Amino acid sequence: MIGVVVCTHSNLAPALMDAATMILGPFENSASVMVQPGDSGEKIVDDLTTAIKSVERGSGTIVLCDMFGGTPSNVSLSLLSQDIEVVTGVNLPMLLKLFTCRDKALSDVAKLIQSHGRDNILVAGAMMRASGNT
Amino acid sequence: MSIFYRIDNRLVHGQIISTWMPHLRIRHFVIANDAVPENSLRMTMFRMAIPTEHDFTALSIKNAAPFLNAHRNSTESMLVLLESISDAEALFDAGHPFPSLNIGNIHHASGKDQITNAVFLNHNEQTKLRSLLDRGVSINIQTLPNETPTDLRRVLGVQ
Repeated sequence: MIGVVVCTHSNLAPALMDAATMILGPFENSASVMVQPGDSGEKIVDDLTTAIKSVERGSGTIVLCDMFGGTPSNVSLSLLSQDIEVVTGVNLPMLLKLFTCRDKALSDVAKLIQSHGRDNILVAGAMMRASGNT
Repeated sequence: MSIFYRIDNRLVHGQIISTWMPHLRIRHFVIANDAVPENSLRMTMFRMAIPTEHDFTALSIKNAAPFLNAHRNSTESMLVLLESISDAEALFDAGHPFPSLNIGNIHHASGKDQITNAVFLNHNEQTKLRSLLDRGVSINIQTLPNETPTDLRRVLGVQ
């Protein structure tokens, strides 16, 4: 089973985890890491390393970050390896998808949740109007 | 003035791209640091984080001084990112005496005084900053553009 770590600015990570739990119920092998103002690079690396160790079960770990180029992603990328993939732009559909396909290969899952996260950003009103619903 | 100098432990990160870049209309990002130009992962990461139509240059402190001297009168806005107070002092001493300096993020460590929620300074750092103030550098603490800048002289009790 692929390990899941969500790493974001402030408390978005645990909040996303709570939201996912509300929909799917509690998860195994998952952790969240918050980056706060004043945190040193070393502290963030330590927190991430501890989180990854706590969720890793031999199938690799995906670290989901909020934004490419932000500190959570910058630090996560310094930990990239065969067993650690980083996916940025985390949203709830992406996280839910990940929690339902954790038994596939790490690189396949990373690609799958990338497209799932992206495909679920919709201009929903325009879509509804186009289908004649309003 | 078209060159802005900022101390930020995180160098290029969310605050820089989302707030300072539009606020100062930055065209060119420069990192002056001895380790970054040698680190291909960090170089790739920073290049990808900065929108492609903006320039990005990373130089050792020694090479940054003449490069920045040559750009003193450039009309395009440039943001010089420094990882630490030591790097700022080294750039000044390497022959590029900048007139002003913004402090954005200096992380916490034991033995440091908390100045703001994002800036922590130990005794050694405060001494270096006093020395830069003595040499005429105007220094403020401002993490985000919409915050009121704090004059470092007031924080350190310097007249």
